[in-house]
Amino acid sequence: MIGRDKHIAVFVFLFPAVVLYSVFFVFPMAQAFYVALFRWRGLSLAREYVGLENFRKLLTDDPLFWQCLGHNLMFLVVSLVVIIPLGLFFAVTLSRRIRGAQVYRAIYLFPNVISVVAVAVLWSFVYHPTFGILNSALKAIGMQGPVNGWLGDANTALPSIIATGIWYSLGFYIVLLLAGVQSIPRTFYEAAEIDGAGSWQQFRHVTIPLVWEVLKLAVVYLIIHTLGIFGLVWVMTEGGPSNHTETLLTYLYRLAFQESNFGYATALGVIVFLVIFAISIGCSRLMKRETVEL
Amino acid sequence: MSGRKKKLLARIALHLVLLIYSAIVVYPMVWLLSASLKTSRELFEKPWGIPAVPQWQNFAKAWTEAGIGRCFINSVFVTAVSMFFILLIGSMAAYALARFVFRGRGIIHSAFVSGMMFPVFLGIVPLFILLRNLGIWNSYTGLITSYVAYSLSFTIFVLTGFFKQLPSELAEAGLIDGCGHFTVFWRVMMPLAKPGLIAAGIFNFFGIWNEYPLALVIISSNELRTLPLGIANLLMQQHYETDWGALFAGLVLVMLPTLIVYLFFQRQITEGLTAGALKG
Repeated sequence: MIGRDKHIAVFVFLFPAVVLYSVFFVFPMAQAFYVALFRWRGLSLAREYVGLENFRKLLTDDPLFWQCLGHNLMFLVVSLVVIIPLGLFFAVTLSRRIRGAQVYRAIYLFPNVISVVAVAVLWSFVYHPTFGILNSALKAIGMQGPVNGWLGDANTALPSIIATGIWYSLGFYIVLLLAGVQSIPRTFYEAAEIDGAGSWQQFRHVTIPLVWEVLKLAVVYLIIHTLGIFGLVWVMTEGGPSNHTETLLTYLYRLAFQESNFGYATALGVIVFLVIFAISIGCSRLMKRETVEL
Repeated sequence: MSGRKKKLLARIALHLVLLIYSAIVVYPMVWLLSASLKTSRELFEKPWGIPAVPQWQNFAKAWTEAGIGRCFINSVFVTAVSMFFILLIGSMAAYALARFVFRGRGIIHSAFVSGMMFPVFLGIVPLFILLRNLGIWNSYTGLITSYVAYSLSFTIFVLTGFFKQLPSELAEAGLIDGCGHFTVFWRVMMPLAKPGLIAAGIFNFFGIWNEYPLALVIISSNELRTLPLGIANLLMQQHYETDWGALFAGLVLVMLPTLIVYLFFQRQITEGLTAGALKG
Protein backbone atom coordinates (compact mmCIF):
# COMPACT_ATOMS: atom_id res chain seq x y z
CA MET A 1 0.00 0.00 0.00
CA ILE A 2 2.75 2.42 0.98
CA GLY A 3 4.75 1.27 -2.05
CA ARG A 4 1.86 2.05 -4.39
CA ASP A 5 1.34 5.38 -2.66
CA LYS A 6 4.95 6.23 -3.26
CA HIS A 7 4.77 5.41 -6.93
CA ILE A 8 1.65 7.49 -7.40
CA ALA A 9 3.37 10.40 -5.62
CA VAL A 10 6.51 10.13 -7.75
CA PHE A 11 4.39 9.99 -10.89
CA VAL A 12 2.34 13.05 -9.98
CA PHE A 13 5.37 15.06 -8.86
CA LEU A 14 7.33 14.36 -12.02
CA PHE A 15 4.55 14.35 -14.58
CA PRO A 16 4.18 18.09 -15.38
CA ALA A 17 7.92 18.71 -15.58
CA VAL A 18 8.62 15.66 -17.72
CA VAL A 19 5.80 16.41 -20.16
CA LEU A 20 6.65 20.12 -20.59
CA TYR A 21 10.36 19.44 -20.83
CA SER A 22 9.95 16.64 -23.36
CA VAL A 23 7.49 18.40 -25.62
CA PHE A 24 8.88 21.94 -25.59
CA PHE A 25 12.58 21.37 -24.98
CA VAL A 26 13.85 17.88 -25.79
CA PHE A 27 11.65 17.37 -28.83
CA PRO A 28 12.63 20.65 -30.60
CA MET A 29 16.31 20.11 -29.80
CA ALA A 30 16.25 16.56 -31.15
CA GLN A 31 14.16 17.53 -34.15
CA ALA A 32 16.76 20.14 -35.12
CA PHE A 33 19.15 17.41 -36.23
CA TYR A 34 16.41 16.04 -38.49
CA VAL A 35 15.06 19.34 -39.88
CA ALA A 36 18.64 20.22 -40.89
CA LEU A 37 18.48 17.46 -43.51
CA PHE A 38 15.66 19.09 -45.50
CA ARG A 39 15.30 21.84 -48.01
CA TRP A 40 12.36 23.58 -46.46
CA ARG A 41 11.29 27.08 -47.37
CA GLY A 42 8.28 28.91 -46.02
CA LEU A 43 5.54 27.49 -43.91
CA SER A 44 4.33 25.10 -46.57
CA LEU A 45 4.42 21.42 -45.79
CA ALA A 46 6.46 20.79 -48.90
CA ARG A 47 9.90 19.89 -47.73
CA GLU A 48 12.43 17.89 -49.59
CA TYR A 49 14.96 15.53 -48.05
CA VAL A 50 18.41 16.60 -49.18
CA GLY A 51 20.68 14.70 -46.78
CA LEU A 52 23.78 16.66 -45.83
CA GLU A 53 23.39 19.16 -48.68
CA ASN A 54 22.64 22.07 -46.30
CA PHE A 55 25.86 21.38 -44.43
CA ARG A 56 27.87 21.07 -47.62
CA LYS A 57 26.48 24.33 -48.91
CA LEU A 58 27.17 26.17 -45.66
CA LEU A 59 30.74 24.94 -45.35
CA THR A 60 31.87 25.12 -48.98
CA ASP A 61 29.50 27.42 -50.81
CA ASP A 62 28.52 30.19 -48.41
CA PRO A 63 31.16 32.90 -47.87
CA LEU A 64 28.84 34.73 -45.46
CA PHE A 65 28.97 31.77 -43.08
CA TRP A 66 32.75 32.03 -42.87
CA GLN A 67 32.54 35.80 -42.53
CA CYS A 68 30.16 35.37 -39.57
CA LEU A 69 32.39 32.75 -38.01
CA GLY A 70 35.31 35.14 -38.42
CA HIS A 71 33.43 37.89 -36.57
CA ASN A 72 32.53 35.51 -33.76
CA LEU A 73 36.13 34.34 -33.49
CA MET A 74 37.30 37.96 -33.42
CA PHE A 75 34.86 38.47 -30.57
CA LEU A 76 36.22 35.41 -28.80
CA VAL A 77 39.90 36.28 -29.23
CA VAL A 78 39.58 39.93 -28.18
CA SER A 79 37.45 38.92 -25.19
CA LEU A 80 40.01 36.31 -24.16
CA VAL A 81 42.92 38.73 -24.45
CA VAL A 82 41.14 41.50 -22.54
CA ILE A 83 38.86 39.71 -20.09
CA ILE A 84 41.14 36.98 -18.75
CA PRO A 85 44.08 39.24 -17.72
CA LEU A 86 41.85 42.08 -16.50
CA GLY A 87 39.56 39.62 -14.74
CA LEU A 88 42.52 38.03 -12.99
CA PHE A 89 43.98 41.41 -12.06
CA PHE A 90 40.74 42.65 -10.51
CA ALA A 91 40.07 39.30 -8.84
CA VAL A 92 43.50 39.23 -7.19
CA THR A 93 43.22 42.90 -6.18
CA LEU A 94 39.77 42.50 -4.67
CA SER A 95 40.78 39.36 -2.81
CA ARG A 96 43.26 41.40 -0.76
CA ARG A 97 42.24 43.33 2.31
CA ILE A 98 41.13 46.39 0.43
CA ARG A 99 38.71 48.97 1.67
CA GLY A 100 35.40 48.83 -0.18
CA ALA A 101 36.19 45.57 -1.99
CA GLN A 102 32.57 44.45 -1.74
CA VAL A 103 31.29 47.73 -3.13
CA TYR A 104 33.62 47.49 -6.11
CA ARG A 105 32.50 43.91 -6.70
CA ALA A 106 28.86 44.92 -6.60
CA ILE A 107 29.43 47.77 -9.06
CA TYR A 108 31.42 45.61 -11.47
CA LEU A 109 28.79 42.89 -11.58
CA PHE A 110 25.87 45.24 -12.15
CA PRO A 111 25.95 45.47 -15.98
CA ASN A 112 25.56 41.70 -16.03
CA VAL A 113 22.06 41.81 -14.55
CA ILE A 114 20.73 44.45 -16.97
CA SER A 115 18.88 43.30 -20.05
CA VAL A 116 21.22 42.82 -23.00
CA VAL A 117 18.74 44.85 -25.03
CA ALA A 118 18.98 47.77 -22.61
CA VAL A 119 22.79 47.57 -22.74
CA ALA A 120 22.67 47.54 -26.53
CA VAL A 121 20.35 50.54 -26.72
CA LEU A 122 22.36 52.46 -24.12
CA TRP A 123 25.62 51.91 -26.00
CA SER A 124 24.01 52.76 -29.31
CA PHE A 125 23.75 56.24 -27.86
CA VAL A 126 27.29 56.28 -26.54
CA TYR A 127 28.32 55.64 -30.17
CA HIS A 128 25.70 57.99 -31.66
CA PRO A 129 27.12 60.31 -34.36
CA THR A 130 25.64 63.61 -33.08
CA PHE A 131 25.04 63.47 -29.35
CA GLY A 132 26.94 60.30 -28.39
CA ILE A 133 29.42 60.83 -25.54
CA LEU A 134 32.24 59.35 -27.57
CA ASN A 135 32.02 61.67 -30.54
CA SER A 136 31.38 64.75 -28.44
CA ALA A 137 34.38 63.89 -26.26
CA LEU A 138 36.54 63.63 -29.36
CA LYS A 139 35.15 66.93 -30.59
CA ALA A 140 36.04 68.56 -27.27
CA ILE A 141 39.72 67.66 -27.80
CA GLY A 142 39.61 68.75 -31.42
CA MET A 143 39.30 65.37 -33.11
CA GLN A 144 36.51 63.92 -35.16
CA GLY A 145 34.89 60.52 -34.71
CA PRO A 146 33.25 58.55 -37.53
CA VAL A 147 30.69 60.76 -39.30
CA ASN A 148 28.06 58.01 -39.44
CA GLY A 149 28.62 57.11 -35.81
CA TRP A 150 30.79 54.28 -34.54
CA LEU A 151 28.20 51.67 -35.42
CA GLY A 152 27.59 53.04 -38.90
CA ASP A 153 31.22 52.77 -39.98
CA ALA A 154 32.42 49.47 -41.45
CA ASN A 155 35.78 49.71 -39.68
CA THR A 156 34.61 50.65 -36.20
CA ALA A 157 31.27 48.81 -35.91
CA LEU A 158 32.55 45.41 -34.85
CA PRO A 159 35.19 46.71 -32.38
CA SER A 160 32.51 48.97 -30.87
CA ILE A 161 30.16 46.04 -30.29
CA ILE A 162 33.00 43.95 -28.86
CA ALA A 163 33.86 46.75 -26.42
CA THR A 164 30.24 46.84 -25.30
CA GLY A 165 30.26 43.06 -24.85
CA ILE A 166 33.34 43.34 -22.64
CA TRP A 167 31.79 46.18 -20.61
CA TYR A 168 28.74 43.97 -20.12
CA SER A 169 30.45 40.75 -19.08
CA LEU A 170 33.79 41.61 -17.43
CA GLY A 171 32.12 41.83 -14.01
CA PHE A 172 30.85 38.28 -14.28
CA TYR A 173 34.36 36.97 -14.91
CA ILE A 174 35.83 39.08 -12.11
CA VAL A 175 33.34 37.59 -9.66
CA LEU A 176 33.92 34.08 -10.99
CA LEU A 177 37.71 34.34 -10.77
CA LEU A 178 37.48 36.12 -7.41
CA ALA A 179 35.66 33.10 -5.98
CA GLY A 180 38.49 30.94 -7.28
CA VAL A 181 41.20 33.17 -5.80
CA GLN A 182 39.39 33.39 -2.46
CA SER A 183 39.23 29.61 -2.18
CA ILE A 184 43.04 29.42 -2.04
CA PRO A 185 44.10 28.88 1.59
CA ARG A 186 46.13 31.79 2.99
CA THR A 187 48.75 29.38 4.31
CA PHE A 188 49.93 28.75 0.74
CA TYR A 189 50.89 32.39 0.39
CA GLU A 190 52.45 32.50 3.84
CA ALA A 191 54.57 29.49 2.99
CA ALA A 192 55.63 31.10 -0.28
CA GLU A 193 56.49 34.32 1.53
CA ILE A 194 58.67 32.47 4.02
CA ASP A 195 60.46 30.91 1.04
CA GLY A 196 61.16 34.46 -0.11
CA ALA A 197 58.74 34.64 -3.04
CA GLY A 198 57.82 38.15 -4.17
CA SER A 199 54.27 39.06 -5.14
CA TRP A 200 54.81 38.27 -8.84
CA GLN A 201 56.26 34.87 -7.95
CA GLN A 202 53.38 34.21 -5.58
CA PHE A 203 50.97 35.08 -8.37
CA ARG A 204 52.82 32.88 -10.86
CA HIS A 205 53.43 29.85 -8.64
CA VAL A 206 50.55 29.90 -6.17
CA THR A 207 47.60 31.80 -7.62
CA ILE A 208 47.76 30.65 -11.22
CA PRO A 209 48.09 26.90 -10.63
CA LEU A 210 45.41 26.97 -7.94
CA VAL A 211 42.83 28.94 -9.92
CA TRP A 212 43.56 26.91 -13.06
CA GLU A 213 40.30 24.97 -12.90
CA VAL A 214 38.27 28.17 -12.53
CA LEU A 215 40.28 29.80 -15.30
CA LYS A 216 39.45 26.87 -17.55
CA LEU A 217 35.78 27.29 -16.69
CA ALA A 218 35.99 31.01 -17.53
CA VAL A 219 37.46 30.19 -20.94
CA VAL A 220 34.68 27.70 -21.68
CA TYR A 221 32.06 30.29 -20.66
CA LEU A 222 33.72 32.86 -22.92
CA ILE A 223 33.54 30.45 -25.85
CA ILE A 224 29.86 29.73 -25.22
CA HIS A 225 29.01 33.40 -24.75
CA THR A 226 30.92 34.80 -27.73
CA LEU A 227 29.87 32.15 -30.25
CA GLY A 228 26.29 32.44 -29.00
CA ILE A 229 26.13 36.22 -29.19
CA PHE A 230 22.87 37.53 -30.63
CA GLY A 231 20.90 40.24 -28.83
CA LEU A 232 23.71 42.78 -28.58
CA VAL A 233 24.46 42.65 -32.30
CA TRP A 234 20.87 42.38 -33.44
CA VAL A 235 19.77 45.46 -31.51
CA MET A 236 22.86 47.57 -32.20
CA THR A 237 23.38 46.96 -35.93
CA GLU A 238 21.26 44.01 -37.15
CA GLY A 239 24.53 42.69 -38.57
CA GLY A 240 25.23 45.81 -40.63
CA PRO A 241 26.62 47.94 -42.12
CA SER A 242 26.50 45.47 -45.04
CA ASN A 243 27.27 42.33 -42.98
CA HIS A 244 30.29 43.86 -41.28
CA THR A 245 29.03 42.79 -37.85
CA GLU A 246 27.00 39.74 -38.91
CA THR A 247 27.48 36.88 -36.47
CA LEU A 248 26.49 33.23 -36.68
CA LEU A 249 23.26 33.71 -34.79
CA THR A 250 22.13 36.95 -36.41
CA TYR A 251 22.63 35.14 -39.70
CA LEU A 252 20.62 32.18 -38.38
CA TYR A 253 17.81 34.49 -37.28
CA ARG A 254 17.79 36.25 -40.65
CA LEU A 255 17.72 32.93 -42.53
CA ALA A 256 14.98 31.42 -40.42
CA PHE A 257 12.65 34.28 -39.63
CA GLN A 258 13.16 36.77 -42.43
CA GLU A 259 13.78 34.40 -45.33
CA SER A 260 11.86 31.38 -43.95
CA ASN A 261 14.73 29.15 -44.97
CA PHE A 262 14.12 26.72 -42.12
CA GLY A 263 16.21 23.70 -43.11
CA TYR A 264 19.28 25.75 -43.93
CA ALA A 265 18.99 27.89 -40.79
CA THR A 266 18.68 24.81 -38.62
CA ALA A 267 21.75 23.26 -40.24
CA LEU A 268 23.60 26.44 -39.26
CA GLY A 269 22.29 26.03 -35.70
CA VAL A 270 23.59 22.46 -35.57
CA ILE A 271 27.00 23.57 -36.81
CA VAL A 272 27.22 26.36 -34.21
CA PHE A 273 26.25 23.90 -31.49
CA LEU A 274 28.90 21.42 -32.63
CA VAL A 275 31.55 24.15 -32.90
CA ILE A 276 30.84 25.34 -29.35
CA PHE A 277 30.89 21.78 -28.13
CA ALA A 278 34.14 20.90 -29.91
CA ILE A 279 36.02 24.09 -28.93
CA SER A 280 34.90 23.79 -25.31
CA ILE A 281 36.08 20.19 -25.06
CA GLY A 282 39.24 20.96 -27.00
CA CYS A 283 40.07 23.86 -24.69
CA SER A 284 39.51 21.84 -21.53
CA ARG A 285 41.78 19.11 -22.90
CA LEU A 286 44.45 21.56 -23.90
CA MET A 287 44.42 23.29 -20.55
CA LYS A 288 44.38 20.00 -18.68
CA ARG A 289 47.70 19.03 -20.18
CA GLU A 290 49.27 22.22 -18.93
CA THR A 291 48.00 21.65 -15.42
CA VAL A 292 49.89 18.37 -15.34
CA GLU A 293 53.07 20.07 -16.52
CA LEU A 294 53.00 22.58 -13.69
CA MET B 1 60.40 55.01 5.82
CA SER B 2 60.68 55.05 2.04
CA GLY B 3 59.42 51.45 1.97
CA ARG B 4 56.25 52.52 3.75
CA LYS B 5 55.85 55.44 1.39
CA LYS B 6 56.18 53.12 -1.57
CA LYS B 7 53.53 50.83 -0.16
CA LEU B 8 51.20 53.74 0.40
CA LEU B 9 51.73 54.93 -3.18
CA ALA B 10 51.01 51.41 -4.48
CA ARG B 11 47.81 51.35 -2.48
CA ILE B 12 46.69 54.68 -3.84
CA ALA B 13 47.47 53.56 -7.40
CA LEU B 14 45.46 50.40 -6.87
CA HIS B 15 42.44 52.33 -5.61
CA LEU B 16 42.76 54.69 -8.53
CA VAL B 17 42.54 51.77 -10.97
CA LEU B 18 39.54 50.35 -9.13
CA LEU B 19 37.85 53.73 -9.18
CA ILE B 20 38.52 54.29 -12.86
CA TYR B 21 36.87 51.01 -13.78
CA SER B 22 33.95 51.81 -11.47
CA ALA B 23 33.53 55.08 -13.36
CA ILE B 24 33.59 53.25 -16.70
CA VAL B 25 30.79 50.99 -15.45
CA VAL B 26 28.69 53.65 -13.76
CA TYR B 27 29.12 56.66 -16.04
CA PRO B 28 27.01 55.45 -19.01
CA MET B 29 24.15 54.81 -16.59
CA VAL B 30 24.43 58.23 -14.96
CA TRP B 31 24.57 59.76 -18.42
CA LEU B 32 21.41 57.83 -19.29
CA LEU B 33 19.62 59.08 -16.20
CA SER B 34 20.58 62.66 -17.02
CA ALA B 35 19.62 62.22 -20.69
CA SER B 36 16.22 60.85 -19.72
CA LEU B 37 15.42 64.21 -18.11
CA LYS B 38 16.57 66.41 -20.99
CA THR B 39 14.75 68.05 -23.84
CA SER B 40 15.72 66.86 -27.31
CA ARG B 41 17.46 70.18 -27.92
CA GLU B 42 19.58 69.92 -24.79
CA LEU B 43 20.57 66.44 -25.83
CA PHE B 44 22.10 67.72 -29.04
CA GLU B 45 23.53 70.95 -27.73
CA LYS B 46 24.95 69.77 -24.41
CA PRO B 47 25.38 66.00 -24.48
CA TRP B 48 27.64 66.13 -21.38
CA GLY B 49 25.71 68.68 -19.34
CA ILE B 50 22.93 68.14 -16.86
CA PRO B 51 19.35 69.16 -17.72
CA ALA B 52 18.47 72.79 -16.87
CA VAL B 53 14.92 71.83 -15.92
CA PRO B 54 14.29 68.10 -15.36
CA GLN B 55 11.77 66.97 -17.97
CA TRP B 56 9.75 64.52 -15.90
CA GLN B 57 7.13 64.41 -18.63
CA ASN B 58 9.59 62.28 -20.64
CA PHE B 59 8.63 59.43 -18.34
CA ALA B 60 4.93 60.05 -18.80
CA LYS B 61 5.45 60.16 -22.57
CA ALA B 62 7.47 56.94 -22.49
CA TRP B 63 4.80 55.24 -20.41
CA THR B 64 1.80 56.23 -22.52
CA GLU B 65 2.73 57.52 -25.99
CA ALA B 66 5.72 55.27 -26.61
CA GLY B 67 3.82 52.27 -25.22
CA ILE B 68 6.45 51.39 -22.60
CA GLY B 69 3.77 51.21 -19.90
CA ARG B 70 1.94 48.48 -21.76
CA CYS B 71 5.19 46.55 -22.27
CA PHE B 72 6.06 47.00 -18.60
CA ILE B 73 2.77 45.49 -17.48
CA ASN B 74 3.14 42.69 -20.04
CA SER B 75 6.62 41.92 -18.71
CA VAL B 76 5.42 41.87 -15.11
CA PHE B 77 2.64 39.45 -16.08
CA VAL B 78 4.82 37.11 -18.16
CA THR B 79 7.62 37.09 -15.58
CA ALA B 80 5.28 36.48 -12.62
CA VAL B 81 3.29 33.68 -14.25
CA SER B 82 6.39 31.99 -15.69
CA MET B 83 8.19 32.12 -12.34
CA PHE B 84 5.17 30.71 -10.52
CA PHE B 85 5.01 27.68 -12.81
CA ILE B 86 8.77 27.20 -13.00
CA LEU B 87 9.11 27.14 -9.22
CA LEU B 88 6.02 24.97 -8.67
CA ILE B 89 6.70 22.39 -11.38
CA GLY B 90 10.45 22.52 -10.86
CA SER B 91 10.28 22.01 -7.10
CA MET B 92 7.81 19.12 -7.44
CA ALA B 93 10.13 17.32 -9.85
CA ALA B 94 13.23 18.18 -7.81
CA TYR B 95 11.54 16.89 -4.66
CA ALA B 96 10.70 13.55 -6.30
CA LEU B 97 14.22 13.24 -7.68
CA ALA B 98 15.88 14.15 -4.38
CA ARG B 99 13.75 12.30 -1.83
CA PHE B 100 12.39 9.15 -3.47
CA VAL B 101 14.19 6.06 -4.65
CA PHE B 102 12.67 4.64 -7.81
CA ARG B 103 13.71 3.05 -11.06
CA GLY B 104 14.84 5.51 -13.73
CA ARG B 105 15.65 8.26 -11.24
CA GLY B 106 19.26 8.66 -12.38
CA ILE B 107 18.29 8.82 -16.04
CA ILE B 108 15.53 11.39 -15.52
CA HIS B 109 17.80 13.53 -13.36
CA SER B 110 20.61 13.57 -15.90
CA ALA B 111 18.15 14.18 -18.75
CA PHE B 112 17.06 17.37 -16.99
CA VAL B 113 20.52 18.55 -15.96
CA SER B 114 22.21 17.90 -19.32
CA GLY B 115 19.65 20.23 -20.91
CA MET B 116 21.82 23.12 -19.68
CA MET B 117 24.34 22.27 -22.40
CA PHE B 118 21.91 22.88 -25.23
CA PRO B 119 21.63 26.51 -26.31
CA VAL B 120 18.25 28.08 -27.11
CA PHE B 121 18.92 28.67 -30.80
CA LEU B 122 19.58 25.01 -31.61
CA GLY B 123 15.92 24.10 -31.31
CA ILE B 124 14.47 27.49 -32.20
CA VAL B 125 13.05 26.60 -35.64
CA PRO B 126 11.39 23.34 -34.53
CA LEU B 127 9.99 25.16 -31.47
CA PHE B 128 8.58 27.92 -33.70
CA ILE B 129 6.91 25.32 -35.97
CA LEU B 130 5.61 23.38 -32.97
CA LEU B 131 4.03 26.47 -31.41
CA ARG B 132 2.43 27.38 -34.75
CA ASN B 133 1.00 23.90 -35.18
CA LEU B 134 -0.42 23.97 -31.66
CA GLY B 135 -1.95 27.38 -32.36
CA ILE B 136 -0.12 29.03 -29.46
CA TRP B 137 2.47 31.00 -31.43
CA ASN B 138 2.19 34.75 -30.80
CA SER B 139 0.45 34.19 -27.48
CA TYR B 140 1.43 34.30 -23.81
CA THR B 141 0.53 30.62 -23.52
CA GLY B 142 3.23 29.84 -26.06
CA LEU B 143 5.78 32.25 -24.58
CA ILE B 144 5.24 31.21 -20.96
CA THR B 145 5.20 27.49 -21.79
CA SER B 146 8.50 27.91 -23.60
CA TYR B 147 10.02 29.90 -20.73
CA VAL B 148 8.98 27.22 -18.24
CA ALA B 149 10.31 24.39 -20.41
CA TYR B 150 13.62 26.17 -21.02
CA SER B 151 14.14 27.02 -17.34
CA LEU B 152 13.44 23.59 -15.88
CA SER B 153 16.98 22.23 -16.35
CA PHE B 154 18.64 24.91 -14.27
CA THR B 155 15.83 25.10 -11.69
CA ILE B 156 15.72 21.35 -11.10
CA PHE B 157 19.53 21.27 -10.89
CA VAL B 158 19.52 23.92 -8.14
CA LEU B 159 16.49 22.67 -6.20
CA THR B 160 17.46 18.97 -6.19
CA GLY B 161 20.61 20.01 -4.34
CA PHE B 162 18.56 21.90 -1.77
CA PHE B 163 15.99 19.13 -1.18
CA LYS B 164 18.79 16.60 -0.73
CA GLN B 165 20.23 18.59 2.19
CA LEU B 166 16.98 18.63 4.17
CA PRO B 167 16.74 16.21 7.11
CA SER B 168 14.56 13.18 6.29
CA GLU B 169 13.29 12.84 9.89
CA LEU B 170 10.80 15.64 9.39
CA ALA B 171 9.26 14.06 6.30
CA GLU B 172 9.06 10.69 8.03
CA ALA B 173 7.43 12.23 11.08
CA GLY B 174 4.87 13.84 8.82
CA LEU B 175 4.13 10.57 7.05
CA ILE B 176 3.73 8.71 10.36
CA ASP B 177 1.33 11.40 11.55
CA GLY B 178 -0.87 10.40 8.65
CA CYS B 179 -0.08 13.21 6.25
CA GLY B 180 0.02 12.21 2.58
CA HIS B 181 3.09 12.75 0.41
CA PHE B 182 1.57 15.96 -0.96
CA THR B 183 0.87 17.45 2.44
CA VAL B 184 4.42 16.64 3.52
CA PHE B 185 5.79 18.26 0.36
CA TRP B 186 3.66 21.38 0.61
CA ARG B 187 3.53 21.92 4.38
CA VAL B 188 6.88 20.57 5.55
CA MET B 189 9.42 20.50 2.74
CA MET B 190 8.53 23.62 0.75
CA PRO B 191 8.94 26.01 3.71
CA LEU B 192 12.29 24.38 4.52
CA ALA B 193 13.48 24.75 0.94
CA LYS B 194 12.79 28.50 0.93
CA PRO B 195 16.44 29.58 0.50
CA GLY B 196 16.67 27.33 -2.54
CA LEU B 197 13.43 28.68 -3.96
CA ILE B 198 14.67 32.24 -3.47
CA ALA B 199 17.97 31.48 -5.20
CA ALA B 200 16.26 29.77 -8.13
CA GLY B 201 13.65 32.53 -8.20
CA ILE B 202 16.22 35.35 -8.43
CA PHE B 203 18.04 33.80 -11.36
CA ASN B 204 14.82 33.00 -13.18
CA PHE B 205 13.64 36.57 -12.57
CA PHE B 206 16.69 38.03 -14.31
CA GLY B 207 16.56 35.40 -17.01
CA ILE B 208 12.93 36.03 -17.93
CA TRP B 209 12.64 39.76 -17.29
CA ASN B 210 15.63 40.33 -19.59
CA GLU B 211 14.89 37.56 -22.11
CA TYR B 212 15.04 38.63 -25.75
CA PRO B 213 15.59 35.96 -28.46
CA LEU B 214 12.68 33.65 -27.58
CA ALA B 215 10.30 36.59 -27.18
CA LEU B 216 11.48 37.97 -30.53
CA VAL B 217 10.65 34.68 -32.25
CA ILE B 218 7.43 33.86 -30.39
CA ILE B 219 5.71 37.28 -30.08
CA SER B 220 4.77 39.35 -33.10
CA SER B 221 1.76 41.47 -32.05
CA ASN B 222 2.54 44.97 -30.77
CA GLU B 223 0.18 44.70 -27.82
CA LEU B 224 1.85 41.49 -26.56
CA ARG B 225 5.41 42.88 -26.56
CA THR B 226 7.53 42.46 -23.45
CA LEU B 227 9.90 45.25 -22.37
CA PRO B 228 13.04 44.09 -24.21
CA LEU B 229 11.01 43.82 -27.43
CA GLY B 230 9.42 47.19 -26.72
CA ILE B 231 12.64 49.16 -26.28
CA ALA B 232 14.44 47.38 -29.12
CA ASN B 233 11.53 48.38 -31.32
CA LEU B 234 11.54 51.92 -29.98
CA LEU B 235 15.22 52.24 -30.93
CA MET B 236 14.49 51.15 -34.49
CA GLN B 237 11.60 53.63 -34.75
CA GLN B 238 13.72 56.40 -33.28
CA HIS B 239 16.08 56.19 -36.20
CA TYR B 240 13.35 58.03 -38.11
CA GLU B 241 11.82 60.23 -35.44
CA THR B 242 13.19 62.78 -33.02
CA ASP B 243 11.71 62.35 -29.54
CA TRP B 244 14.68 60.87 -27.71
CA GLY B 245 13.72 61.79 -24.18
CA ALA B 246 10.96 59.17 -24.11
CA LEU B 247 13.33 56.46 -25.28
CA PHE B 248 15.85 57.26 -22.55
CA ALA B 249 13.10 57.32 -19.97
CA GLY B 250 11.92 53.95 -21.26
CA LEU B 251 15.43 52.55 -20.81
CA VAL B 252 15.51 53.75 -17.21
CA LEU B 253 12.19 51.98 -16.62
CA VAL B 254 13.59 48.68 -17.94
CA MET B 255 16.63 48.81 -15.69
CA LEU B 256 14.92 49.97 -12.54
CA PRO B 257 13.36 46.64 -11.43
CA THR B 258 16.60 44.73 -12.03
CA LEU B 259 18.52 47.37 -10.07
CA ILE B 260 16.12 47.06 -7.14
CA VAL B 261 16.22 43.25 -7.09
CA TYR B 262 20.00 43.40 -7.47
CA LEU B 263 20.45 45.75 -4.51
CA PHE B 264 18.11 43.65 -2.39
CA PHE B 265 19.67 40.27 -3.11
CA GLN B 266 23.22 41.35 -3.93
CA ARG B 267 24.79 38.75 -1.61
CA GLN B 268 22.70 35.82 -2.77
CA ILE B 269 23.34 36.74 -6.39
CA THR B 270 27.11 36.92 -6.05
CA GLU B 271 27.25 33.73 -4.01
CA GLY B 272 24.74 31.85 -6.13
CA LEU B 273 26.47 32.86 -9.32
CA THR B 274 29.85 31.61 -8.25
CA ALA B 275 28.62 28.55 -6.34
CA GLY B 276 26.62 27.43 -9.35
CA ALA B 277 29.48 28.11 -11.70
CA LEU B 278 32.12 26.47 -9.55
CA LYS B 279 30.12 23.31 -8.97
CA GLY B 280 29.01 23.00 -12.58
